[in-house]
This record gives sequence, C-alpha cells and structure tokens, in this order.
Amino acid sequence: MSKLDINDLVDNKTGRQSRLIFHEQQVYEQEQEQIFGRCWLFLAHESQITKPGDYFRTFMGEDEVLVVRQKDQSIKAFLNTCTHRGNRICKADNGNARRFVCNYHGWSFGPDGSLTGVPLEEDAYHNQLDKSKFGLKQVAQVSSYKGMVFGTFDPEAPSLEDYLGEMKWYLDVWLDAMPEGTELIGSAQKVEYPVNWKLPVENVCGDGYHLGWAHAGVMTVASSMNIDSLSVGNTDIDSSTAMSVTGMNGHSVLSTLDGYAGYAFYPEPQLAVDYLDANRDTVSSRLGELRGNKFWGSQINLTVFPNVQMLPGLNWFRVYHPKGPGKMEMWTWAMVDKEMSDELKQMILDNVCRTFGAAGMFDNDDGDNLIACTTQNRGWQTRHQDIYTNMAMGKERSDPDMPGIISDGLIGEQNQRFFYRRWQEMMTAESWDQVPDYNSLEEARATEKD
Amino acid sequence: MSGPLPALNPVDAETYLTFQNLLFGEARLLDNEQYEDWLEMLTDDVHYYMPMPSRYNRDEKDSSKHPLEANIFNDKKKHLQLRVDRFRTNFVWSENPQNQLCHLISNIEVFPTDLEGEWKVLSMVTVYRNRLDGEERRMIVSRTDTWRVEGDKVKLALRNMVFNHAVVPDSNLNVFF
Repeated sequence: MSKLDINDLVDNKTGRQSRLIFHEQQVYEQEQEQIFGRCWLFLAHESQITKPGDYFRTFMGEDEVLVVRQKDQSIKAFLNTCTHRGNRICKADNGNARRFVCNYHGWSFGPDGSLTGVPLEEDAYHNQLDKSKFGLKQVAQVSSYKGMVFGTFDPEAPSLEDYLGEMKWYLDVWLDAMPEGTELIGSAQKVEYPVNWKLPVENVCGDGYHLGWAHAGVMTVASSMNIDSLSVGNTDIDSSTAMSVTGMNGHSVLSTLDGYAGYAFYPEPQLAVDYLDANRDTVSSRLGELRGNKFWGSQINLTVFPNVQMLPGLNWFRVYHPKGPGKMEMWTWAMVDKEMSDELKQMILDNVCRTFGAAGMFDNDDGDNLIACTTQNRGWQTRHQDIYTNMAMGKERSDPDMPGIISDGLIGEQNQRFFYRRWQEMMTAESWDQVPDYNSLEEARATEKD
Repeated sequence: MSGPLPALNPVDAETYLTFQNLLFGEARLLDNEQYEDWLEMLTDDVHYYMPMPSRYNRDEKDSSKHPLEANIFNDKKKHLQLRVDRFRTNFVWSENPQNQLCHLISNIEVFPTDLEGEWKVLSMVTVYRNRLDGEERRMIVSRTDTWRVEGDKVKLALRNMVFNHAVVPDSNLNVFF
C-alpha cells in the first residue's frame, strides 16, 4: 500500500475525517512515532510513588515504562525492557524495589536504571562488558505539573509548562483549587476494548451530544440535579449555561458554569455539595471569582492531548493506552482533593465505580458505540467513507476573561475538530518548529492549514 | 467460625443441597434477567463488593495501597436497585438485542458460622456472554458469601467477590456476578 497523505485524511475547514485514521496500521505506526513518541504523556500521579524505590508500571504509546521515585525525590522513567536480550524486567503493576532483576539471565538494574549486576560477569563475560553502556533506556524528559507526572521520549519537546500552555488555567480548577492538591486512590480499573484510541478521547473531550442519548438510561435513574445544558433524549437544551473551550494546542475543556453539576450524577450528593459550599471562598481566593464560582464544582471534562482526561466532580482520571489501531486499554482512577474527609472520599470512590470504570453505568453505555465506530471500518467501502464533526462551525468566539476558543453549550463538536487538527499537526510536523502554537481564536486562525 | 476454613466443609448433605439449590436458582434468575426477583433474594442490608485486582510482587507490598480502596462494585441494595432501574428504562442500548448470558456455578462449599442461622458459602461463577455478532466473553469470579435466615427465607447478606482478571475483557459489565 502506498503511503497515506495525512493532509488528505483530516480537513479542519469542513470538520471531515477519513475513517482510515481509525483503521490503517501505517497511520497507527506513524502515531506511535509522531504523537506518542513526541508529546508529553501522563506517567503517574505523584501520590502513587511517594518513597524512594516506589515504582509504577505503565505505557507511553505501546512502549512499556517504569516510573520510579529516586533517592533525591526526583522521578525517572525508563523502558521496561532488559538491555541484554530484551525481556520485560518488571511484571508487577506497582511496588517498591531496591533493584529490578530480569527473570531471564538475572541482570539487575538500580532504581535509576543503571546496570548494577551481571551474573558471571568475570567468569563468563571476562569482565569485558562495559556496564555503563547498558543502562535502561531513559525517557528523555520527565516533569510534573501540580502532582501529575508527565514524560516525553523527545529531548527536543518544549517544556511541560509550554506544552500545556493556557490549558493550565483550566487544569488548575482541579489541580490547584485546594491548598493540598489532589491524590489518586487505589489501583487503576483496566478495561480492554477493541476500539481505536482516538474515539474515546473524542467522546469525552467535547461530545456532549451523546450524553442525553447514549446515556439516557443511567441519566434517567442517577441524576440528582438538573443540568440545563443537557436533557435525557436530547429534547431541549439551554446552551447559555455551559461551554466548550479548545484551541490551547489541542487540549480542551467541556464545562457547565453552575458550580455544582459535577456532582449531578451522584444519587445523594449532599456531602459533596456541603464540601463545595464550605470551600468555595478558599477556592475563589486562590483562583479568582470566575473559576471559583463558575467552574469549580461544575461538570468539567478536561482533556490533555493526546490521551489524558480528568473529570472533577465525577472525580475520575483516565488514560487511554493504544494497543494497535483497533484496540486500546482504558485505565481509570478515582482522584480526589486531599483535604476531603474520608467519608466524602469514600462516597466519591463508590460513585466512580457506579458511573465510570469497569462496572460504571456510563462507561458501560459507551463501549459498544465506540467498538462499532472502530470495527465497522473493516469494510473496505465503509472505511473509504468520510465522517464529520461539523456541528455549529463558525460559531466560535473569544472571551476576554478566559483563555482558549469558546463555543456555547455542552453540545458541540468544536473540541473534536481541534483534537483532530492537533492530531494532524503532530502527524505531519517533522520537528517541533513546525508545530503551531495557538491559544486564542486569532492565533488558531492565523496558524490554520489551508 | 473464625480463622482459616477447614479443607472439608462440615455441613450435612441436606444443608449443602439447600445452598446448592439457592445458588443455582439465583443463577437462573440472573440469566433470565429476573432482576426484581433476584433483589428479593438479598437482605435489605446486603453488601455487594468486588475490590480492584492489583498485581504486585510477592516480596513487595502493594505501594498503591491507600487506606481507602478502589472497587469495581461496592454496592448496597439501593445501588443494586439503581442498576436494575437503569436496565428497566429500556434505554440501555447495549442490552438490545438481548445478550446470551449463562452463570455457571461451581466449587460450592458451605460452612457454618458462630451465628445461628448464618452460613459462609464459597462458590465460583463463570459468566459466559455471547453478544453482538457472536462475540464470546468469559469472566471468572470467586465468591465468598454470607447467607442468613430472614423470616422463612435464607437470604444473601454479603457477597465478597474476587475478579480473576487483571484487565476487564469486555466492553461493559452490565451483569451481576
């Protein structure tokens, strides 16, 4: 098959995507190199690895990595593969290790990734092995933003702060709202789907349209508050009470503006409502009235390009790990404010497992839709059809008080369009110099591809 | 009875058969989606609990251990009722057309407890699902139950479940185990 021209596969001006981007192995391989090989990817939450030697095993694209807390409290990450014959070094999900020993021939590596022990080094290798050349391959850059540890394989990538850009203003609504910040609780709920990794990102980053329809069942039984911008069955909505925000280098936000609806899908949300009321002044003093009153406590979907999503209120945090063009693993944790009482944390944990996660009633609605959007592309005629995210094009606006490009309402496709725009920009750029930087409507228009 | 359970269950054959019939009957109700009848088999204070599996090395502790646990299920009766209510809205598209569902029950063991009218019952359930265009999924769950006499019935008061999969192999868990 000839090489596909990525420029033809996505058209931002019409909101078009070729379905080949969800199916073709060569597109997928290019994603591994151009997107997962260069973008900042979520590695761990600081609260998961607090003591020296604490480690967490995860993925960056399809590359398996170990994220390890060092003696000096810094964090390193390296490929989970022995430099001798390539075996996997660590099979546990997490733990605390003084060294990582390969099961194959017993080579051992320190928490910093250096090769420290080789059995029969003298008798068999005749001391000819230069151990300093066989340390584990390091992730080029590792950096944290307010508790979230990210890494990139690309030494040329911009700093994490620059990569997040204006998205930080919105991320802080969760990560920096309360003085002590956030923590993840427990291990990840891992679910394997036969789904292309982009589809669940698209589903959560901006698609409020599906909520009232795909989730009509659970919304009927689990809603404890009215959300004016949503309705079961998508019968009528008030778009003035919510917004989607994007631009911001491909990151995006979908949010109500009521300050409470994050807890709308808790059958009994009173404990959470009390927490919001008790702490709103604190948050407003830290983040200002706008974020304190309108965003904090609202139903917010935060997406960091390419594959991280956080929903304060529903209080889950998620990463999608690609496993081939037609498969991915979804890892979901509960994330809470450290200041919350154990009683509230427990209530949140229990609601996370009822709403999102393996047995979550919302997640259990999404699976089949996203699977079919992927597997239907096995048909040659089907995958040579284009699909569109073209709702409300040209209705974007700016707001002097908030960063990003804004469209009113929860129901829209602006964020999805920018997700695919960023995807295309990363897929086609040969270096970071060619990746446009935009955080406003003007910048986004000025850098738009013809 | 506290401490480790003995290798052989000490209940008489009649008691054992009673619980075998209860578990088989329960499985049939779930296969037939008779969820309201199933809820009737549970005590009002039932605790339906499935913690998250985590795989860590034998000689290390689970560093993700938090005083609070993440679970797949941690439901009281009202939450199980909520899940049933969702099915009954007829808006759960993934259950339409109806999926083939079989609860295969095995490894049943019955132990008396220190409390009169209360038993500890161990069993395993293999949930076999055949969905969509014949896609097959099989999930195996180990169950440790407490069953208790309530009125003229024996009801399920606690189900502690071990989900024997590191990664959930299906797109939804629209099932009870």
